[in-house]
Amino acid sequence: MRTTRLLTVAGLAMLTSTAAFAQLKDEKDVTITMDLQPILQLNMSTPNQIDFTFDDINEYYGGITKYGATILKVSSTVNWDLYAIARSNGNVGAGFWDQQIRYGTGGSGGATNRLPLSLLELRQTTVNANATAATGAFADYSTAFPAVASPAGSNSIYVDPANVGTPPSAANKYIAGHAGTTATGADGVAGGSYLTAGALTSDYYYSIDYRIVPGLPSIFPMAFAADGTTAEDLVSANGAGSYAQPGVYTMYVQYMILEDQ
Amino acid sequence: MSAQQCDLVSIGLVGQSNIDFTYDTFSKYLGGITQNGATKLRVTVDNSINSNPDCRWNLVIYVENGSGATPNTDWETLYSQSVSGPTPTIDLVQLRVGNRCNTPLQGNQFFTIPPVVSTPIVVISNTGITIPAGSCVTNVNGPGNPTTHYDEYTFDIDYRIVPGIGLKSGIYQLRFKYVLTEVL
Repeated sequence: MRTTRLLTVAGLAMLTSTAAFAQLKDEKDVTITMDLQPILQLNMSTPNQIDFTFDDINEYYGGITKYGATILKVSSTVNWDLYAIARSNGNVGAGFWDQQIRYGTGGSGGATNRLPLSLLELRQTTVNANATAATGAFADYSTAFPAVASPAGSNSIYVDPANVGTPPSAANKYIAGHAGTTATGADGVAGGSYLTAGALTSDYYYSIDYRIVPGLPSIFPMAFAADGTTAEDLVSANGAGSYAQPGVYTMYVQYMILEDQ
Repeated sequence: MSAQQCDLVSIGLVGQSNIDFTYDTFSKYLGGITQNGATKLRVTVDNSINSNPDCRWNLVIYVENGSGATPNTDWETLYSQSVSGPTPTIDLVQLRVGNRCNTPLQGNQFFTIPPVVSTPIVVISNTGITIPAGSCVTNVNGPGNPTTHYDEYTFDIDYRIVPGIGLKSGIYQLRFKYVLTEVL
């Protein structure tokens, strides 16, 4: 009984001691949520329609070039890639210009309305500086337009043969960045904006020239496949004696910006 | 160890317990978002019962990222589908703690929070000297309350976050813990 009483007293003493030394404290919490929404902006200054009218023999020989017809300005909060892809409605076939009308009877035996989309050439004024992972003959469209007498695929626009909008591969051309997600510089451009990058030669500003060279006969010698090396001019594609059927043709160019992933 | 000095310490929070920063335009990314007065703290410290002259207090902020799996320098990721760019670090956040008497040690200016979670940000420190209410100087830490000394016992917290460009997109979270403690 005496032992029990002593333990009780000791316990009370401990409780009293604890209460006496308890440090008063109070606290409140605030939670901060940050929502970083990805922003990919492609500002494009261009005519809705760019016309190439070939009504002079010199234009057939030398082609028509539209300098600076499209200006592309990029603002992105994430790493990004930019490419161009030639598209059509496919009323002639996948990978070919749409024929809106043909003139007269459409020409003699070798005339064809199957004009490859790749006959359109692009040239970008700013080199793609973020494409070291590219594996193809041409990483971008920055090469000067080749002389008409020396056809090359350096500037043929990328075409998805199936016409379903498949992005270019590592072997094809990008305007900025490239296929894959190795790293910025290798195949992606770091987030940024033409608003802050400064010079017109930055990675966020591109001036695009267009050229079409029909040639004479009009076989479009500058048409090359997406690999940049396989000729797609009308003779290579259809055999000797082929030439373009006179008429009105249309196609469109899609500029695609996407996060590097 | 000393005995209890004060009768009561209490901190009241006025404002949202969840503060959202949404970045959906380029200008917000570059210019940042500032939420002035998003949090108001009302500190009450009382010693009217035992009238102990050594009743003092300190006020400290801790930043937590809520998850042991998150590096102690990063925001906790709630959602992200992106693979590009780094996860934001906690030192993106700038705070400004102030009141009319400018009692906080940070001097009523924006400052960047420490880069590692749980690092104490001392607003009112334990100097061992009691600076009584009504002094209207830095580090007032005696008994008082917002009713009698509003300019010293009320703290406005402003938050600023400037993400800049290149961070991984997603939804992130941090917790700010405001701790008022009696000094023993």
